[in-house]
Amino acid sequence: MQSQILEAKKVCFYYPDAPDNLILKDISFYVSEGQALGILGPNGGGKTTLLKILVGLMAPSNGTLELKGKSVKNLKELHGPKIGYVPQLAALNTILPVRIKDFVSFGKINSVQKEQVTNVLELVGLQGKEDKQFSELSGGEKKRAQLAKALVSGPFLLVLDEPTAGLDSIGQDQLLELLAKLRADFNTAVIIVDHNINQIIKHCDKILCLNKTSHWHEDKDYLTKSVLESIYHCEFEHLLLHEKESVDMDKKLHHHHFCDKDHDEEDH
Amino acid sequence: MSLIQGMTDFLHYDFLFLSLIGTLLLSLSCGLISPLIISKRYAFMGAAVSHSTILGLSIALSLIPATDSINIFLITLAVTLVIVIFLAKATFRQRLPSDSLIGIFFTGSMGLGVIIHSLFTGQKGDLMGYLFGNILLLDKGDLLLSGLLLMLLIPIILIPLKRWLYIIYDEEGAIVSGLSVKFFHYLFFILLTFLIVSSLKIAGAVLVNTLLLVPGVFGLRFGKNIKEVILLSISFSTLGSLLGLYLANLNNFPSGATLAVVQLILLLFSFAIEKLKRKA
Repeated sequence: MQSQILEAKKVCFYYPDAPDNLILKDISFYVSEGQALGILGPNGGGKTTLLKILVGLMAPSNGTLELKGKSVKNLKELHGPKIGYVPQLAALNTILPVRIKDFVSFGKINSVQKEQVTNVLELVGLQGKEDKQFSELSGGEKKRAQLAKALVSGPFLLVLDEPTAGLDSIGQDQLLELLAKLRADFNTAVIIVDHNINQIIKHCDKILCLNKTSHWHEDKDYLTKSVLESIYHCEFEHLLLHEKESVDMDKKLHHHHFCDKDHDEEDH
Repeated sequence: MSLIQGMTDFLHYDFLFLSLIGTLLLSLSCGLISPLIISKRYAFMGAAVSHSTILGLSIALSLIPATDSINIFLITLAVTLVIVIFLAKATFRQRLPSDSLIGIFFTGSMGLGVIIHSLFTGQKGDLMGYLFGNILLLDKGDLLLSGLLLMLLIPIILIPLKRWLYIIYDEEGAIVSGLSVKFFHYLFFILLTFLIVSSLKIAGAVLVNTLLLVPGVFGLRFGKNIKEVILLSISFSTLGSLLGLYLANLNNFPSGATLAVVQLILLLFSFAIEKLKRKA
């Protein structure tokens, strides 16, 4: 049985100066070894906030996180080689000229060996480009270089913020297939925040749909068009979903979690 | 004054020799830190720190004679550091943009400094000399401080250079990797404060920003990798500053202003040459 890597239990978030304005409400899910969790939702729905909580950049206002079954008391427990983080390209400050091999070595700042950098660049298909400047790479290559940086420390969880943004459909497939290979070969768990609904449905095992205080999470087989439409508040066409009418409704009711009400009220 | 005499003066007159060594030390420090200031997008922060020194200077000059350079330095440094710690806190991963807060804060502290100077200092100290630089104020104590600062700055920047680069390149990634980004953030502000306070007599609180920014812009424009960027920045800073000091002495111009103008002209000249080369 695959062991759990990261579990969120009733995670809530609000800014201290606006406690009534909940950004996240009672988010619970887990991701196990080798699994991929895709996080979907409209802009302003709290995806990036949740992601920042998962990698220890922000503290949840309420709720807990467990890393490999151990409760995270301090954000620093999430930092270090365990979690590989791939931020959006726009988050990088590329004013300084940095070579690919130096960029990748950032991922293991204390003691990275040359062979580790070479191996990880080979893994992501950037062999022979060690001495190129990061700014000279194409969009897809930059994403791969970011992935190489995240992988060099040998993390058991990869967290990616909009990895397909700016890539054409071939580039998106290549990147997401590379992630699938990493999951299969190294049992690495993956969490992806993205706007590309079809790619997320195609490449992830579990889905978390999020829009402020409403969320839905389950295996992707249970995701329906109506769930997405209620989260996004709009209608969709051309989604890569199975027809859900044939799904066993009992099973569906037991496994789905659709939350847009106050849990305490529900409990009562 | 002949061109040769403009050079030999630096060996014949003690105050000019002191200014030569002081300028050399300052330009080396500025050249080293300048690419980091530019790439961290802290140009405005440098201006804020330098203007904040006026409060410390006014307090120092109201308490002790202007000739006591070590104690002037220490009091100015202490007061400026208190202000800078607030500035550092206001700029570390805050939700709201901090530019306006910084702008209000440093102009307020500068205004308070001018009031204290007018109330308590009177004719005891020349605040204008510290605003725009006056090499006649330099003494051996200042050189000692500048030398010590450079000795500190070289290992603090160069030994953990990879960490500095990572934080500049990807701050959030650096935090998730386990780097103490907050420590480096505060360390950078403290180094910047030391450097600016030690440069007040040569360049002045207003004009020191040119020395902090122009070499880094040159290095980043023409350097192909980080080593080249730092070496070009230091070379530009040193040559530009020494040429500025020489021209200031030759034409009897104010030192800080001449250093700033010469560096700017050299930068524009280098851009023009680059453009001509591209066309050719």
